[in-house]
Amino acid sequence: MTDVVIETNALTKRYGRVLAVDRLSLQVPRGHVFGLLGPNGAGKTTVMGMLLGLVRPTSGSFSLLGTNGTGRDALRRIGAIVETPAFYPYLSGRRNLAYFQGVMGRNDPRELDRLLELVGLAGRANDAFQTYSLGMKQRLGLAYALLGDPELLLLDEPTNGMDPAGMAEVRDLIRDLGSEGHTILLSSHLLNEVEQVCDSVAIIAKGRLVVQGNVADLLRPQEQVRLRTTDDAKALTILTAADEIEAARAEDDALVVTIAHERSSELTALLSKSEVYVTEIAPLQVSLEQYFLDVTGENGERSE
Amino acid sequence: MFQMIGEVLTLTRWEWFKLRRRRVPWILLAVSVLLLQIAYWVAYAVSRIGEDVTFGAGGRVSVGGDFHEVLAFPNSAGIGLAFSHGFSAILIMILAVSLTGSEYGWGTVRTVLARGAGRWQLLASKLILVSILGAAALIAGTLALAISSLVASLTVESSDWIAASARWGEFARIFGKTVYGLLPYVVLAVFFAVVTTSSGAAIGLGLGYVLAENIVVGILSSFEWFERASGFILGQAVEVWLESADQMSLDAVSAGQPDALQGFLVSLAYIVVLSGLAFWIFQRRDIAGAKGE
Repeated sequence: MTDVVIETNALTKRYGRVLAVDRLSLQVPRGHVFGLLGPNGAGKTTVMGMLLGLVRPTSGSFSLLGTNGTGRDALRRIGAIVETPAFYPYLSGRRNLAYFQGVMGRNDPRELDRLLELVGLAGRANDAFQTYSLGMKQRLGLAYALLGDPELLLLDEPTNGMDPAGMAEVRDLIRDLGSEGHTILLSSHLLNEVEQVCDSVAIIAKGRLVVQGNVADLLRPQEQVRLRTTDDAKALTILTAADEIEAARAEDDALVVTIAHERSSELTALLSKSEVYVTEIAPLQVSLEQYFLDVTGENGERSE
Repeated sequence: MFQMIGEVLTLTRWEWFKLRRRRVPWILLAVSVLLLQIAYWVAYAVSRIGEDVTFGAGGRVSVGGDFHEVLAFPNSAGIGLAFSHGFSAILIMILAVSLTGSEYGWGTVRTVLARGAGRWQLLASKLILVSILGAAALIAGTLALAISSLVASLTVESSDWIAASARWGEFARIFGKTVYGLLPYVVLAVFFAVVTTSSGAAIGLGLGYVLAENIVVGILSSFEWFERASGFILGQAVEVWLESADQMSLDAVSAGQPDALQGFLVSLAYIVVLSGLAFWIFQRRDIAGAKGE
């Protein structure tokens, strides 16, 4: 049985008339990098807030690291960035981290050095937080989240405001943390980023869970091949009539067929029976972004 | 229980770690010492010309007459404390709001709580720190007054800067009462900060409350019925408590002196009720992100 680190059961949050999170049930397995995706206002940050005990659920329940609700003991095993990292503007990056380390009842200057080095802030560690760029603030937020080597990381848009190089560094860092056994709940509007680092995802829209699962498993039914034949019109008729083919359409000068890549040989066999021969065939990679747009019905408004 | 106390003390220590690096407490301390010095040197000037004026609520301290009696240390500190309560209350409110309300503006309350700091422990640590700093500011002001007494004594023939009739016990009593008199204002300020989740609004409400109270008391004091009711107004209750400072001891309070006892109890009621409400709201309310103040 898989060890579940985060489990929510019909978790609901209502702000007056607005239903921010609607009976959300999620399971995040231990050791997974888990993506939480959703369009603007989907409720991702509210979910994170509830898990961290910052927002009180209207109904439902959840368990974190095996304990019901947000116990303070559990929180000490969790590192988090929620929205834009907030720190004391007049304190340096190092002193901000020292403060939060102290709040956690620890005092380990070497850990501060290591984390500041890890997130690439060692050179600006003694500068006031208010002088940092958004990307640097995000880096400090990551260092804060990693204080105390937490088992579980909740990262809400961790690359927000970073330049491409910084984003790549953070992706690498997240992958490394995941491979070291940390469980990570990553909320991001950068679907490409999520696809690159996450093992599993949950897509929520209007506070409701749309779909949850392993990234590869979710995308597999969406796999498509693009082919050309000796008679595309006849081929399309054959393919649309065939039970084993989920979908087929003409697109530009070719046909696009929804079928698992490893089953593409069945296509050629099916068509050749009717004396239609495949002249060209290539797998089409369906991105998580395309999948996300399909399941949420979004058309371009994907940022949160 | 000991673990909880330990957590509060740890948080208090780290609250001080960050607060001492802000300008606000040092500016407030400088203002506080400066005002005490002004009070002292005005009293000194008056004493030199032989006039008799009074300082503090209800005319508690007279500065006319012999330098030894009132302007030598520690008696001079009594003048300072008597004079200082009005502005000390405002300064301590600004400090309390600054320590609590700013956390909402910066969004750092969320960052702190997300790493496992307990809510009531965090609020308690802020209340404790502000109270300690209020007392520390009074001590700093007192020490500055001691130096002033030393300097002033050099201008007076045959005078020692320590009063021959030093009333140390009375000074300690006034000091304790003054600190206690600040506590309702600390709690009031923190309450406003928690309710408004804004340092600006909380300072406005705090100062507005003090001002409104003075106006209401000024207007209604001519009515006979108000005389009894006024004892339940915070400022009046604290004033009654402080007025008794140079007349009676805490023993006298426990012995049942009506005005002082009422002042003590009404102040205590404000402390308990306002801090209880502040803790309850802070414990239950959702914590939003930075408000960008």
